[in-house]
Amino acid sequence: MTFRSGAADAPAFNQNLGAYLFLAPALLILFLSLLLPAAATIGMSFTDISFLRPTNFVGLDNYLRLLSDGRFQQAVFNTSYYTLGVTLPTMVLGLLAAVALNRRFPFRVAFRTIFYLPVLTSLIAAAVVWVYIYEPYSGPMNGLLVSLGLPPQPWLQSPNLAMTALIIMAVWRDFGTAMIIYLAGLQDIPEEIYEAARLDGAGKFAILRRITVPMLSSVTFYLMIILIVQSFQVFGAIYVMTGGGPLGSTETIVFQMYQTAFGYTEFGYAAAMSTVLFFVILLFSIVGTKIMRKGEA
Amino acid sequence: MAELELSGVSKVYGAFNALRDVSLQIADGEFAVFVGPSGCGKSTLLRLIAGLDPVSGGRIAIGGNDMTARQAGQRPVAMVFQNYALYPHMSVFENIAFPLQMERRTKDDIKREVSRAAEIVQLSTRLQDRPAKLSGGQRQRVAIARAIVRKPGIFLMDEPLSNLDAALRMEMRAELTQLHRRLGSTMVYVTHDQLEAMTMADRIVVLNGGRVEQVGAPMELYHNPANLFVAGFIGSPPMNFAAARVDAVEGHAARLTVEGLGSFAVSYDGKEVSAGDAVTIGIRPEAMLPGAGEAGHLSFRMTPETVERLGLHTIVHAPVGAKTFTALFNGDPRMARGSALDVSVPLAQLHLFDRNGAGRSIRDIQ
Amino acid sequence: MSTSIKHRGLNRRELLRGVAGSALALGLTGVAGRAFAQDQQLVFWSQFAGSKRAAGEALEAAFKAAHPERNLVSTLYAEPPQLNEKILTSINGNTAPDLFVQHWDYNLTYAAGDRMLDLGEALDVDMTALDPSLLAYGHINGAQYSVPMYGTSRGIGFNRALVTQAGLDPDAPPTTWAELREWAVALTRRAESGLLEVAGFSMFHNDLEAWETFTIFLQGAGGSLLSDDLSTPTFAGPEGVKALTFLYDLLYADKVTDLGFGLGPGGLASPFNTGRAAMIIAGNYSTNNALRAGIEFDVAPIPMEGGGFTSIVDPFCYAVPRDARNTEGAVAFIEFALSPEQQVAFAVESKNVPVLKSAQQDPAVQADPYLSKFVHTASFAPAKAPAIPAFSRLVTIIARAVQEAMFNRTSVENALTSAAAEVQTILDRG
Repeated sequence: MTFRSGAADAPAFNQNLGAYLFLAPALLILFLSLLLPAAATIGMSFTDISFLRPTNFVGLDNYLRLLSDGRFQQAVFNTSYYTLGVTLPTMVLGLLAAVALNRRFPFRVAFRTIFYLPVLTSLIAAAVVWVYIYEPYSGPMNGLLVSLGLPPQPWLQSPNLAMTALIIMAVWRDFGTAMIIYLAGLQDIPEEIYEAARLDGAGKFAILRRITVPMLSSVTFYLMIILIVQSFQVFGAIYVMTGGGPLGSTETIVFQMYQTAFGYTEFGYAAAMSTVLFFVILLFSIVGTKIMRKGEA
Repeated sequence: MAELELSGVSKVYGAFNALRDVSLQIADGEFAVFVGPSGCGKSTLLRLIAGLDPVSGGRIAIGGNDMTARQAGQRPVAMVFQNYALYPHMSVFENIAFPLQMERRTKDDIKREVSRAAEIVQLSTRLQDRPAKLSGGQRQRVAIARAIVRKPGIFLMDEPLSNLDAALRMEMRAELTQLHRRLGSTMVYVTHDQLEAMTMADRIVVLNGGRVEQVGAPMELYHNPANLFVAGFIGSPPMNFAAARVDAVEGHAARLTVEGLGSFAVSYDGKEVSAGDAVTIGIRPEAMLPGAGEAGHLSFRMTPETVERLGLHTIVHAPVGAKTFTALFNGDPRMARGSALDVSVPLAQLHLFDRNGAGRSIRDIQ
Repeated sequence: MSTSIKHRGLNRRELLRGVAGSALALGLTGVAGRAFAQDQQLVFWSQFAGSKRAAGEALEAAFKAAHPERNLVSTLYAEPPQLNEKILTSINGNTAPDLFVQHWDYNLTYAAGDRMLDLGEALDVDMTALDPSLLAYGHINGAQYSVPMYGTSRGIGFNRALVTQAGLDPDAPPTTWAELREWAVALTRRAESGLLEVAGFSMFHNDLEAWETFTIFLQGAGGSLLSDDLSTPTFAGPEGVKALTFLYDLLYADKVTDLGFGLGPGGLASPFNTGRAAMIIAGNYSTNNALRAGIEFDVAPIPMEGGGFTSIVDPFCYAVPRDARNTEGAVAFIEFALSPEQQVAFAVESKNVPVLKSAQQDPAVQADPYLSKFVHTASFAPAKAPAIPAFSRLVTIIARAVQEAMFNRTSVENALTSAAAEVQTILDRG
């Protein structure tokens, strides 16, 4: 049986040879630039490599150390909090904006542009502006709170608020992307489906909940994975805005990885962090997929 | 169960008048078919009745209640769309249950109603499937079941059979007619296919250019089309037309001259025309008989360009004057392409249309 | 047929031989060319950027003029971490420069991997002529792996206008902790709502400053970060507790500042430079921004608890990779940079404290009103330095502990004790 199926496959492989040849350059680049470094990182995580001193194989030591490393655990918590905090509101706001802007009304293109602009700004420039916005004494954010009769807040200065402040900025930056992707997804829903739902007595909210959202599930899934992967790797904005502080409340895994590798020259330990990050992202993606599938079924 | 009353309904899109001053009454339980070429406004009219689009003017009443200002979901209507508009992410059960859920009915209630509707459309075994797994005909039935559970006063159907193949279309036509009989509710059915209109309708509304051309029972429209448009639209193959001149009107007869047919007299009350007028004559293909006619027949010769033998009928295309006439003969008579043929038409079945106005019919048949 | 095959085979062999030959020849030429070029070049990676840029360029120009045969080729890196990434990878790729200048703690990391040349042996320089407190930062494992060019130093920076407004004498700055406290309280201004308008003493604005402020007060209480042999943390002892408690009380009892006040990127928008802080721990690098912001800037030595002064210095040091191709040239450059003339010129241009003791007292340096004050405060820095390769880690751990206590996450004692335990683990790991 096996032999026969093998023989039957042979011509198919020959036929595919051309395809493999065409793919070869891309695969080679992918291998050299992605898989090889990834494998090397996993390999390095079992050593104490520093690129300065002689390297020893240390087995699972780095991973055992991570288990008792309170700072790393805080970073994992911070990163997960940030990821959830960014992903969910970004998708919800992106969806609402997309649904709102999918209707025909004057200045709709202007609104789309305004909502999408943050995506186009330079991350560092945006971060600098937001540092000013959050400035506790003269910043517009507290100006707004005070004018609403609320007490001003030390946004980036309090360990309890700093991460939330970073999340707000990230949502501001990212929801334009979510909106554009959702707008594209909305174009694929036939108008008749909405009309059928209206005739079936569904109100605006019921249509959103029962028709629009489920029909965008594949778009939502795509967005969610993109946002999770992106949020888990956050670095630039935090580096500029809080430097991981105060009290390590905004220190993320990537931030710590960088510090461990280049600040402390513990590349082996940093490689272990990076491997853990890889599996955490994988886990989140799988859980996300499961939730989506469940929602679909 | 409800009657539908449209008075002076119009719809304007920008500078385009999609519907002008449409007034209609459709009785409770009636099967009404809106028919017309594409762009005639029939689908627009249906959407106005459904409440999907607001009217630009006029009034829509269902069951004696003014519905003009009501939202789509608040009108006692259900609609079946051309492309079914099923919810692709829901099972058949959920699709049919959706309108009931929107009414916040109890779970047991919903279950009972859905299985009853599914039974009517013979889909009881497919309730757990997604629409993507169903055939076109089955999807159509889901859409119908979804309409049935709403127990609407009026069913609105927008070209529901146009996406089906010919055989299935015939089958579904019969099923829809049966369904109408079984439910006894008012149906408004939109189609561009005059055959569907003829076979299914209690009453046909012919629309053209946003206006109602004629309203009537299928045979009424067939025998006495109100104008050239209806005459040409109803009946298949379509009616043959030729330009004629009125030579004289004497008592109850008019003498006409038609190019290719010569000069002949038809009985005519004479009120509408006088000598020298230009008119149009209309001859249905099935009114033509093979062989030279007796008295009371218009007889002429023609030479077929094509002969299409269908077994039950034979269709012949032949030049007559400047026009090409189509004739439909019963059975399989002996005739061939290129050899001249005697044909006769009972003068009683000759249609006359005024050519100065809008092509109004000016001669009642029977 | 067969001859033609043979013939073709021969040709191919010949061709291969030819290719191999010419490749070899090219390779040899390349090696020779590179070797030739190496003799000619002195590759220098510099971190003389920002406020030190002009001084660095002048130094290089002077060296080029004095030693045209050395063929100096330099590359400038904007930030120490950037240079660090570059050096770490180059050391492994055998593309390291002959010489670089970097923030001292990075050099210790490279030295700990035995990758650096012992400059104590290589340099023909009188080490006793250099400031010992700066030199200490380049000393590790019994050798001088890295030699400072200059250092920064810390003092109490204050706003003379605010001091005068508060009825204090700007020419009689505090000399004890008690006086410092009085000043801080007197200088603090709050609105009726309690909103802080001017902080009497703004203690720190980031992790590094949290570490620095604590260390200064630790020294002020008579303590030190590490034991003399650098093997044990000593900052959690009674002096450390006293220092952190003093800072805690300034915050909570005296309310001379708010938690997180001015935390952020600093620069011209920092509380001090916007007139919203009357006193800070200032470095010589603070001068330019303060003056540009129009602050009536002044500097005083940092008082110890019961009198006397203390400070911290923070040097930038030269280092030469052990495997450098042109150590001779590198040594020549360092010796040149340590000459009195270059030391004075660099200090005056960059407003930093020169490592050469004679240069510190040079009239040209002393003529600069602010630089002379920072040279003075530098003299109070301890002669011992926490010169350990894991220094940056130590900073992070202590900064965290200080803030945990200040944010009331834990007690002063607990914060310091657990930080000390953490530091001990790192020191033991080596």
